[in-house]
Amino acid sequence: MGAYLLRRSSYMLLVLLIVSFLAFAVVQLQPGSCGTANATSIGAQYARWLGQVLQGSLGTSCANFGTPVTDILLGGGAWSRSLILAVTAFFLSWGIGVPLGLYAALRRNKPSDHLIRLLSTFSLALPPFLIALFLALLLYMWGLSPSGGVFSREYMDLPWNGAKFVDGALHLLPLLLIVVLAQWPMITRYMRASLLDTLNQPFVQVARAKGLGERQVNYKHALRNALHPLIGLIGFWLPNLFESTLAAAYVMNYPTVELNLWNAIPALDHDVIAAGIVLFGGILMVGNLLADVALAWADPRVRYE
Amino acid sequence: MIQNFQKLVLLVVAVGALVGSHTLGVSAQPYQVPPQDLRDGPGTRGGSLTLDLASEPRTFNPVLAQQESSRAITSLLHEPLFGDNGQPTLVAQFDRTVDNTGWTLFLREGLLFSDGKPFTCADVDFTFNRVLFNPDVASAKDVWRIEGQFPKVECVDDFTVKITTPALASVVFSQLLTYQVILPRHVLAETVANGDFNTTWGITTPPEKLVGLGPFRLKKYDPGQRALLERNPHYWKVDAEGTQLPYLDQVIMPIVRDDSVRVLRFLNSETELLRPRPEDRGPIVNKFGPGSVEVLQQARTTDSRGFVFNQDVQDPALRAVFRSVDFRQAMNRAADRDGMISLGFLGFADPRCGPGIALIFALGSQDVPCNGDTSKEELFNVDRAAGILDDLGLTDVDGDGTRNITDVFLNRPETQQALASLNVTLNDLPAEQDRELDFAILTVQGSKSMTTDAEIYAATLRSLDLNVRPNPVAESTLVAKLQSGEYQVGRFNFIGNGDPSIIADIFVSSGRQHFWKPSDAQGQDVPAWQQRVDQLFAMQKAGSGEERQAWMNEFQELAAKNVPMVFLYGVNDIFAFRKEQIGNFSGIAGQAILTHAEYLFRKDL
Repeated sequence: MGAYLLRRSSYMLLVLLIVSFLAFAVVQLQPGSCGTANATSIGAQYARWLGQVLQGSLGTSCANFGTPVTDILLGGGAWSRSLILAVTAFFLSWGIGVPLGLYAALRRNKPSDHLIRLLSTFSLALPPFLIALFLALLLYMWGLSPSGGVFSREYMDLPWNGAKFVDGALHLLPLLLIVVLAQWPMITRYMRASLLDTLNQPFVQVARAKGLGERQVNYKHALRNALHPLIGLIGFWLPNLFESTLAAAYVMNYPTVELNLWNAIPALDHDVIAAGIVLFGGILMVGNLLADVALAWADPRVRYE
Repeated sequence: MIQNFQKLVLLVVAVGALVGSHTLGVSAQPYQVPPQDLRDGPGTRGGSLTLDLASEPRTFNPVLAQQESSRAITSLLHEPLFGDNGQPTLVAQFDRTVDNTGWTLFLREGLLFSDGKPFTCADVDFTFNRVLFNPDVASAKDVWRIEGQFPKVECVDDFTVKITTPALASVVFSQLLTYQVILPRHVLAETVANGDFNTTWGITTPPEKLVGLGPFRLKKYDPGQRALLERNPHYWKVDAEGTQLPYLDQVIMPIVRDDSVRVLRFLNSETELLRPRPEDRGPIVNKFGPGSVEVLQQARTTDSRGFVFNQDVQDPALRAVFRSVDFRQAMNRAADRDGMISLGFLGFADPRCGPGIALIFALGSQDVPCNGDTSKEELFNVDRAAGILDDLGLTDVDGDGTRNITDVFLNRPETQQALASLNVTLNDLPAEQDRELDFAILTVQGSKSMTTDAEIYAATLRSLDLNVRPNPVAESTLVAKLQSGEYQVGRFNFIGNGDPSIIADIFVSSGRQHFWKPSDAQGQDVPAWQQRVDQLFAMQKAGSGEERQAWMNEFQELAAKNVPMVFLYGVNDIFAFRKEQIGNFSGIAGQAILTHAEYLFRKDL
């Protein structure tokens, strides 16, 4: 396993280098990039940027007149908001999506299964951005702030206290709702399909033939096996989460790292874009690696050498 | 979005019809605002005003700030030498020499920066000589050059500035009248000496280090969330009742990126001032009543928008077509300006056929009528356009539904000249049935009005049997392609500041922004009318107000007749606020939204 992790980490570094170079080159080649005044080649500029990264600096934002990239991308608490939003949305989406998928699979073709499938299809058909705008309109119609920001005006300049914490949590709620609404259908449908597939496997038939109770067959044997593909899904699910959190943060005026990266794209702010892509690419690859490790841990049949 | 044509946006400040005036006021301490400048009378102090910014500011440096959100903040932190409409600001009085090559500015005494340090001539000297004229500073410095030299700015004493130019130069005076902020020498001298000015006063700068002479100072900036400004306690204006300005305690600028959400926030009374889209006017009026929306008419706007035909396009036959004045006249008549204004701006724009107010606002001239005809119905005439194309010989010779660039057209004497400029003869070109009149219109992807304009224009041109299609690209790509000449027809927006010198770079044959026919700079095939335009722009730099007005009127007529570009319209700026809530609002189109923020007050306190 140790050799496998080392090998995967090396691959990850190589992929990150390629991805960051491609991101850097694509931005630099765009007419109007704020770095095009630099007469040196793209390779030389990338080498300069990489040298800075190796020395612990992600460079400076040309669109923001030399402000460090870390301040643009992560500053003002953006990283902590991104982390809180992503982690909370992860647990909520999976906490809702998996049980609903399980419930639907075990009640296949019954009214509750049809209802869950209908709702999930409806939710899947709505892009996160539209959900966000619809929610903003609903909040306005209910007399609430359509774009709450991080805190209410009266709490913004106060030091942390219980009331400010509650206010912050209330402002986070609409974003969570948008992300969860966008994410649960995919997880539910995946869970349902995986469990239905597992329930048709011979070992489940054998378990039933042995006289095990339906509950034991479903939850002890079938569910454990049906969950394995979902562990692998987690790594690939991260970009999907990024899309939803970006739409929620944009409409709800909630500055996050993904929103800061998004803002850098129209300005062709190459250092910020390259750093952001490396950051999110790294998260995606680490997520995949962790998912693979978790799968090996959960499924004794899986071995990485 | 539209405002982000930064490389073509030159300056966005209205000047006022001031050229030629001698004295701008009297020295007074503190300065009392004339009652007529406060349209709702003296206000009461206190309260705050909230208005949303559409994006994060990119800098708090007023010299570098181009983007609207940055300017919305910096315009409140700093004070110009001269204000609009002739209002004195930092300059109490001035004199100029008889030969119009020198000015003496008498600065208002006793003014303090927001950190309490005094303002003197040393700050003016520093701003001009160490910052604006500094080759290492990314400022728009070229407009100041007369015969290759910057004006000489020197201090006679602590409160007297002497400015001299190497030649007669009205343009320098016009520049002085624009929004020229003065920077604090005591704060920035070291930064400039170290060569760090281009990165100073970024968005992570601690607010206490941002020092200015404006009515407000930055109290806090929460990145991506909000800018909070508070009253500058050292501000020097008072109203007729002796109340120190500004009236407002705070200006709060949350960052709300989505257009629709900004409107919802205004409707929800979370903000007090909004720059709505034309389509937002209906919901706002429905909620707050007709008086809630104020439309600033084009008389105060300085923008010009339209399409430009690349007269140096690579394809020799197409180049010959685009260089034909008659063809461009036909294209001018095929522009359905009213349709574009109606669909893109719901009527909140005015048709234009010349650079108009963008060019000569300061000189008090009027825009020229389209096609030399004052009748609005004549602006758009597809039949006449078709007739011109037929007369030129641009007909459909192969019956495939698209006009061809025919031998008849290419054998015309003026066309032969265009081909000769490329050392191309008719024999070098494909057969006429293969020379279709076919081109793409570059426009901005994601801009509703610009894509609408291109669609309408292309549809009309297709009805004239031209094979035309819109090609939406990223805004930065469009600007780069216009500048590099890699386009056939392109969309342009530019904003002047009322002085002809500001947009001379576009219309003078040697100008760096002469993107519609860069070969003029090499002196090739410069038509007589263009040579006259060059003369007019050269002369106007040094002329009197009356002379400049006459010369620029002549330029406008030449532009209308020769159609270097198809000018479309100037957009009206719309502001929404509740009149029972906000007093003394006086927005100026094209400027940062809070012009004269020191006058604003809350009526509902």
